[in-house]
Amino acid sequence: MTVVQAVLFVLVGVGGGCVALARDPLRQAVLAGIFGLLLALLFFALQAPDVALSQIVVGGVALPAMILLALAEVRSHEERDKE
Amino acid sequence: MTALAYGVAAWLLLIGLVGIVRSRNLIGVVICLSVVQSSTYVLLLAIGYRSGAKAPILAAVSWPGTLAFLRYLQIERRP
Amino acid sequence: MSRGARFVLFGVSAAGLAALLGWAFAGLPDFGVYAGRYGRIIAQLAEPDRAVTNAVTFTAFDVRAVDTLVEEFIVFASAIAAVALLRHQRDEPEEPEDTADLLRPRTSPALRIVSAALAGPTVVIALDLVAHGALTPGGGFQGGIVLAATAVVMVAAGARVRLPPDEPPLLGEMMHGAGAAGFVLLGLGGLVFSGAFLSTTFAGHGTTGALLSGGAIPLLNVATGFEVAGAVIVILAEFLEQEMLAMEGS
Repeated sequence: MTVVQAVLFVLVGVGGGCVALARDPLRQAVLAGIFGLLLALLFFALQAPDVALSQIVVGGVALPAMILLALAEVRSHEERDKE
Repeated sequence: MTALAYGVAAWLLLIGLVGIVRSRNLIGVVICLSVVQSSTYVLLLAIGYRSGAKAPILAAVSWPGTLAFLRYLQIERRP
Repeated sequence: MSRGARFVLFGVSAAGLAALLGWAFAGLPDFGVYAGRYGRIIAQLAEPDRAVTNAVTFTAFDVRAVDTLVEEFIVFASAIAAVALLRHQRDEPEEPEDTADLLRPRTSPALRIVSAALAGPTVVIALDLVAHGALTPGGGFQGGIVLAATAVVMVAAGARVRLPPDEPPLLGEMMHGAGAAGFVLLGLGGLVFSGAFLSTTFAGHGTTGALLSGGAIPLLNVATGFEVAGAVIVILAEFLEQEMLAMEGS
């Protein structure tokens, strides 16, 4: 295992811990985007470029976008319930 | 270093489960579920990795720009 | 069950699961020693058999093409599920046609400028990934989802999202329907011309490294690209429409 791969494994572990242990869903969304990009780098270092390409877009763009839109929807429902 | 690769996969699984148990709404549950999902990706790639191997692109192309990019990915031309 | 009791129960179970995982992972081969035969067979068959250089799309669209068909229909079904679920909740009264003010973007100019600059290159990269699926890393899934990300970039750049109240986003729906149908039709073409469903040899081999090589694999890549892009655009449009309606209502 090369140094790059070892460092990326450790970073992925730390990133996963940060995502799972964060409190606020908004913070979790941003951390999930960063975690997705770290995963894509790990896949690239493990000689799997196709998987890395999919992971960059899904983990960096699609998943945070869906989380943020769902959060906005929930928040506006709560505001409307309060009125 | 075997322990690091498989250990990260097991760690992601367990910490994702901790996140699911600790979360207060369904959105947090889904985000932590994606962390658990990524542990399966890491395990799959760690099992399939071969030391010193190159990406599964068998290069027989001869365009100059493509060659530089393929060499960067450690894919060499076939003899 | 109180929260503390739940945590204790989870702690005990997680310790058991960790022990089980440790015992299971101890029996795996070392990291870097892949002892399987399938990978070697694929790497030897891709070049002479089908004249493709990307062994991954060769596996996904030729050797295991039925699995890819099922995965495509999973994406298709999830798009339909998003439409079916999120459309029924639309019982808010219709607003008058003065929604232009509400749809004005409230984002910063820096975000809008960078997104507008990135939208064009992203489309080109997506189409390049789809077209060269049989040659370089990439393929149908990767190019399709980059194309869907382009839609996100364009919304971030401030494109006016004017979705009619009760109609589906027509472009996205046409794309993902055409992609799914195209995949099945290509499979039937393989059945008609070569005798096996999803056989790719009926379209001729071409020379290795040329854009049109590998039989029907580039065509399957294009169909998959349309399908994935359309499905993700439909799902994100449903989410976005919900949020737009919520903003109107408040």
